[in-house]
Amino acid sequence: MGLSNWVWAKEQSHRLSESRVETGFFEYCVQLETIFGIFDKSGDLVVSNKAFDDLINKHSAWKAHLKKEILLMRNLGKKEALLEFVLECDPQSFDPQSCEPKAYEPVEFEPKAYEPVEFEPKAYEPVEFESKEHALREQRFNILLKEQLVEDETLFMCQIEEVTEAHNLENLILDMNYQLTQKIKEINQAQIKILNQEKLVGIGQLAAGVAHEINNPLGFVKSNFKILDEYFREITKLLITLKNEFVTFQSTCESADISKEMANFFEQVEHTVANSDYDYIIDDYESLFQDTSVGLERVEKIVNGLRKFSRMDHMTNFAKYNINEGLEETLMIANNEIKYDAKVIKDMQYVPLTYAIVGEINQVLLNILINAVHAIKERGKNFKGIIKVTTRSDEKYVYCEIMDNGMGIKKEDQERIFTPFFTTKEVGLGTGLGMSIAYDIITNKHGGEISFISEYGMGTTFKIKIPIRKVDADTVDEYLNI
Amino acid sequence: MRKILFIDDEANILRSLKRLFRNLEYECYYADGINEAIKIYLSLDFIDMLVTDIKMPNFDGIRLLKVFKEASPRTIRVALSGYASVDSITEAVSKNLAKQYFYKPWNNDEIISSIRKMFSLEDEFEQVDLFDKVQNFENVKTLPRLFDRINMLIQKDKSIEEICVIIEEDLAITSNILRLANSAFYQAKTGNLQQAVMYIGLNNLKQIILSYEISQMKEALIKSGESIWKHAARTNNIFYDLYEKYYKKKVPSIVGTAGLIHDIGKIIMLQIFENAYSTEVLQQDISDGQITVLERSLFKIDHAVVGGYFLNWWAFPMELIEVCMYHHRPLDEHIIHKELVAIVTLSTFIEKKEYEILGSSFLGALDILKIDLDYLKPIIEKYENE
Repeated sequence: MGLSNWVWAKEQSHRLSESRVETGFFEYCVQLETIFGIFDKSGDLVVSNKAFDDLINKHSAWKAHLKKEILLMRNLGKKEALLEFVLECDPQSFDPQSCEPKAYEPVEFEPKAYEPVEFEPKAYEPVEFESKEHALREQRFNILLKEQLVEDETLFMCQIEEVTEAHNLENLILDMNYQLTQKIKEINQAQIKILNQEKLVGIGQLAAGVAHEINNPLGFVKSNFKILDEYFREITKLLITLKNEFVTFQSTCESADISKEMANFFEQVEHTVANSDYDYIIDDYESLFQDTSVGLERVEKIVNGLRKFSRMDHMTNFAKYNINEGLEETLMIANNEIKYDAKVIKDMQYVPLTYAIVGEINQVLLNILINAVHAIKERGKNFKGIIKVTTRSDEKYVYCEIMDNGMGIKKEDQERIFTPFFTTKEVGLGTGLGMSIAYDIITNKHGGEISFISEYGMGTTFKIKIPIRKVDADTVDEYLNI
Repeated sequence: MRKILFIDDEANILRSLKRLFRNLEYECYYADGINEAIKIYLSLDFIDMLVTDIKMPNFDGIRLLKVFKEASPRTIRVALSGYASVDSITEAVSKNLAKQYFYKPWNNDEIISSIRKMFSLEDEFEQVDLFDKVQNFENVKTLPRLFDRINMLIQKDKSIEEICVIIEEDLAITSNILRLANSAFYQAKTGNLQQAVMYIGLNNLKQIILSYEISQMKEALIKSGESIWKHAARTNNIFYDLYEKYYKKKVPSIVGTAGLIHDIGKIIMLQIFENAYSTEVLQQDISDGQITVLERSLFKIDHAVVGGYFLNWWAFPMELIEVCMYHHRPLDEHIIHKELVAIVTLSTFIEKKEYEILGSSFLGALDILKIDLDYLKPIIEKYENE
């Protein structure tokens, strides 16, 4: 640290000797790169290194600012202060003289803890944000002021550090962090959608497997049951024949001719017949057979419906779709949920086929129906719930309305119905994703519309509109990009 | 007595089938697996019909069908499946492995009646066997080389790209096939084979190729056959519209060419009887119903039976064979797929604009579908002007 590095404030003559400047005294100042100066207790500069001197002289604001800060420290009795100082400059002509010191407001910054998520980082597209502009227009400094007693004199050590770049980088990082957080949120949502899709496909596979498993035993049960019927009729025929033979024989025997054994025999047979359930069985048989047949038919229908509903190709491909058929299938699947709480009224007119992802539209219908049932349940035990399902069409669209007389949606909740994760149900009863996915399916994937009208305490009507498309497989991709 | 072999790895199913077929006019055998099946086959001189499950864990029903197709091609192969997924059926159909499909759970009466009908169809074909001596007949049987080749490729699970490449080796065939495909499936605007396959399916394309190859058998007769193709292609379009209107769903690929091949018998007869057929039959201005009568009087056989016979020979599914056989007599009691045949019947009438005549087969078809002329009006009007 040669003396040549030090600049004495010309206006000052000071009793600080040069030797003092050199040794030990300047223990804070270690490297030549520091911008370092010493002020007296009035806030006037005594001595500084070259760098300090250059900096101070660049802008008139420095001396005044530092003086003010030192006097403030003395007033407050502070021995040490770490300050930020910002110089704003005119970007047009970066003239140091034209920089105005900005009023500094200290800000508490707490970096938010975030959990890193496994994902493919998309190339970051830098976004214009304010601080970039400022970067051109402002310079930032950290100032360290420390009171020091030197030979009974109170002096103030001043170390200045330019942190403009660091600060800008910091802002940049903050901004990037914010962008990142937003993207992560989006990705999480997308991930959930994909999981939902995969879940459905998985359920579809499971359902198809179960359907097959059921079809085999159902196959031989159904067949055997019919054979059983034939067996029974054979046996009954035989019994009736025997019975008739017996009666005939009995009547042809003269009472005098019969032996004691014979008489016993007749009596025994009569007794057995009288005590048997024979008459009842013959009477009940038709009904028993009919009931069981109907039961088997129902099982067959349900398995078929389940298989159709969860067909793999229904999940992903566009195919010709008839919404009436879709509604019927969905109503059958949901029947168990609906039947105890609501009656379903159908008003379905002829609708043309349109291209759609069958499984997805059915899923939307299912969601709306389940929501309708829950809304009706809110009304209480003895409420007579009604769900009305209507379909219509014109040249352009296929329309479907599902109306329920459940509790309805509160006004303040209505605008958030299609928001992801929004739900009025208790924790665990719903993810709140059904409607946002439904919205995505109908509007984005199919170019249709989904809307509702609802009045709390009255009921809700959901309306779906799907455009009628007659496109072939090749243009489906084009269509999806509209 | 005809012999039927039932194969299923579930003993319960076999027992229930045994109960069902107990007192009928067939000699029935039951096997619980491929080994048992082969043992039985070897012990008999001939098996008339094979009824097998498709997806079985211990062995593959498809493989079984392949084995029997090679070992005993004249055995009727039927699939009885509980796994009615699109994939397994598609595979069996595209490889021409089974003529008919039954699903579990089945209806006892329907299965018996279908089997009876399939055998009665075989009986009808026996009359065609008398023509076996006719040289041209054999030629037609062995004719569709490309069709056979494609079938083999499909059996070997070759990809669609590979198959298309092989077809495209012949540019003339490719362009003609595409033209036919585009006119028979009118929403198709396909420019290349792969697109065509994507849109109409490999099965339908295969059947188009077959039809095309038959028609090209004799150069001199190509022109005569053109009117038949035009009619067939348009009929296919009408068939699609009517099917979709009636069932409110899209035409399943297994019957995708029902309209196109219904008159294939005519093309075949043209190749066999040549000019005689061309002048005596095709150039006559008579209604469709009268054609079969004329054919029988001239040639002792008609195009419906000929078409059905050959489709049967080429292992087409039962539905299409019936369409060919019965489209001019939709009320025949032997038909299994009554509604499908009726729809094709109506489609041909609409194409020929012969609905005014209101012949018995037309009315019969309306009856089967439980519809009236008004129902057809929108479709009639659509094709009136085209």
